[in-house]
Amino acid sequence: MIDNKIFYFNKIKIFFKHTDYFGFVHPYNYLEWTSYVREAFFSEKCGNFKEVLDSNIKMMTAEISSIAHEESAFGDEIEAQFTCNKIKKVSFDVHIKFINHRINRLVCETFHTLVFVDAASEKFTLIPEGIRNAIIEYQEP
Amino acid sequence: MLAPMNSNSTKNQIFVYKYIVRYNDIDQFKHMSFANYLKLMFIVVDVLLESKIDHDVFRLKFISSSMKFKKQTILGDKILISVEAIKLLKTYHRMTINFRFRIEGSDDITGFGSQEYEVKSLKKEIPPYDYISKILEGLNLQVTSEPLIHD
Repeated sequence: MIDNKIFYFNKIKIFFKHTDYFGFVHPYNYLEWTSYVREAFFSEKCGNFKEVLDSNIKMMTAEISSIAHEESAFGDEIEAQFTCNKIKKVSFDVHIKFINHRINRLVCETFHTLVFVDAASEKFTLIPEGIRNAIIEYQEP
Repeated sequence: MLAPMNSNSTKNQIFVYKYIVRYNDIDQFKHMSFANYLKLMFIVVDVLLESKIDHDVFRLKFISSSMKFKKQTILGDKILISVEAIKLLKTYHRMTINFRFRIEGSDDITGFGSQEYEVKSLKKEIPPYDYISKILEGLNLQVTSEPLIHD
């Protein structure tokens, strides 16, 4: 049975350095936070993630996109929601939604595809078991 | 295939921004992280357009961004980011910019990117399309209303 869970990352708060000329969050930040959120997920949910990092298996971003919906500003608190889909043998997609707590709206979402490559042979390799077991639980319905 | 060239496009230029991968761009795997590539697209737009815009009059509001990665880059690589084509739609006040990333020297393609902006006039009397198209014309860049596609 698939649980369709969501991984929540609640540690994003907007500071001056995140804002642009007009006082809104610069959209680049959501891309940087995307990397934080996915690394937090892997660290917490994939028990052997450090072993994967030390192995010959490389996790690579094949493509990424982001869509802005609403603006955020200094002092806002953002919650990121991580889910997966299109889980295949050597790749899967990650979908992250950024929700602004002040306005209770979706402000941005990012989508990216991760592929796994054996660094020695430079060929695609299977998603490591610890990661696969974790992402299955967070698959979108 | 790029957007079709304007048949009178003898003056059209290609804008290329050169960036050298630095220590603080790369991570423990010794490659530039994906977020930095997207940051480079914002930098190119800043250099190309934002420096020419009066921000009391006009705003480029980000809508979306996408990137496909072909090859990773390492410390010291010289990345050439070229603005391949710009699509400007009068009706919807939208501008799409396509980028190509390649490594100087080898000419290996590291990726293709695209960004879409809403062109917003902050003063009602200044039509946004006219404002931005004048800036682009001044840069002699190829601008089209045709769909943009990458190789």
